[in-house]
Amino acid sequence: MSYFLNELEQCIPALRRYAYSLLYKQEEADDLVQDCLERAIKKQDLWQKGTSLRAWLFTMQHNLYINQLRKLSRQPLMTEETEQLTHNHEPNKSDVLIRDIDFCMRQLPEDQRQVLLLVTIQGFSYKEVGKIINAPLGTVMSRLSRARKTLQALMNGDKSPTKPVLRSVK
Amino acid sequence: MNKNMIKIQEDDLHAYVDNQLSADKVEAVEALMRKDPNIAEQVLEWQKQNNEIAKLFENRDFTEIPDQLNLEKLKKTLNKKPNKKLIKTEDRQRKSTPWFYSMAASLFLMVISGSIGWFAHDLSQPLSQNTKNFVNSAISAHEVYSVEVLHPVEVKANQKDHLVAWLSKRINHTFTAPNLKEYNYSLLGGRLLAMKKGKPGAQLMYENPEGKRVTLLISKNKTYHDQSFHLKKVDNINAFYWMDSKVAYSLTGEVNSKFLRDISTSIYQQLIEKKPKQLVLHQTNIDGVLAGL
Repeated sequence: MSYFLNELEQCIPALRRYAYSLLYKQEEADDLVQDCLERAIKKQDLWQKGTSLRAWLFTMQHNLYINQLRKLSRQPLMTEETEQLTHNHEPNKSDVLIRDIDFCMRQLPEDQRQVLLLVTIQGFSYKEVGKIINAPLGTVMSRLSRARKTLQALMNGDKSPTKPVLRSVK
Repeated sequence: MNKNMIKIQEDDLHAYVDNQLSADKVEAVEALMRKDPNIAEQVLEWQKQNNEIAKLFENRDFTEIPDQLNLEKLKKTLNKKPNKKLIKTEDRQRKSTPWFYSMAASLFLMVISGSIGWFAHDLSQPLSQNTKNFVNSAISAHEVYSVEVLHPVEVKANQKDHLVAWLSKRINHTFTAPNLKEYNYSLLGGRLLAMKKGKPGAQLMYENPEGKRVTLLISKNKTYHDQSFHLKKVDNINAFYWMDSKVAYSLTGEVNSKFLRDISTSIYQQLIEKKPKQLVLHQTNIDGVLAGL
């Protein structure tokens, strides 16, 4: 096996995990990973040795995912669903139901969830996340901040968004 | 406060939580946390979040790489047909619908269940008595049998073919037992139930590794006509139910409604895939719904 394929293979579990955390279905997640791997093999000359292969692959997989999502709808999938869920689904259910981390994560808007997952599960630096999702650092940070606050509110069963913690402190 | 007067902003707190902060700022953040309990609490909260997120999917194994993702094979296939479109390669082991179509199908179902279903449920026609009876039976049957230790089912999953053939015959509707591996639930077995007015119903029971159980009740009755998806909640039990050409289905369990809906979506798809005609219709509907988004 070539050096590239060897390196590529090391990244498969992380790609699968991320794909699963986006899609929540193993078969679909593996189809997405397969698309990504095929593309990586085809485009391997474009990867520069010495740079992070993992970040390169994640960027590719992220784009494949986003492209398909765009084809389907101009709206992020999770946002649609979240609205249905919170507005129609269970207007007066007890808060106990929504304290499960998995359940709460699924309710985060897609873009916030992606950033949080890339930072926490995948351990990417903020800069790398910016490259992967093709957004400036400021956007990464504001999505991360919103993700954490929304998640915190969901976990605590709050209806109102949390107040800003810290704008600027000396 | 800090001797170097380093300015700490919220971004620095995130970076601290994610171990991405430079050493000098780490000190400053820790000093600030000692000084301000609110900030300390916030940081701890986010650290707790990180720990919990890190544990997500930990019971799934992503390291055992399926054949579909075997790199040598993928490479061979690509070399064989360098100019062909990737999607069409022979060695692909994907099912007929690519991941984004089935995602579209889920979206479609969410939209249907979210808007039309609930709308219909709440505002337009009331549910028929038969439908109400059906879901009540599903919940009672779940309560009675899912807690059974010794005999949760009449026929166990090791006789699956026999079980499905027998129940199909009794309820006068041929079905297959949906595969819920994706959700970590496996078939335990099933039993025949008496519904109201002497109609038979088939109950399939699934169990996850933690011993949590969900049951799928299937029954046929020519008076079933409600089209949409509904949720009924009784105490901790959620029942997600729908009708499809005179056959009623209910997935019942003590799991959250979102998860239940995901599984129900999968069951709906699996059962509908057995009927190619409806699948086509279904896809058309998806396009229609998506165009409207």
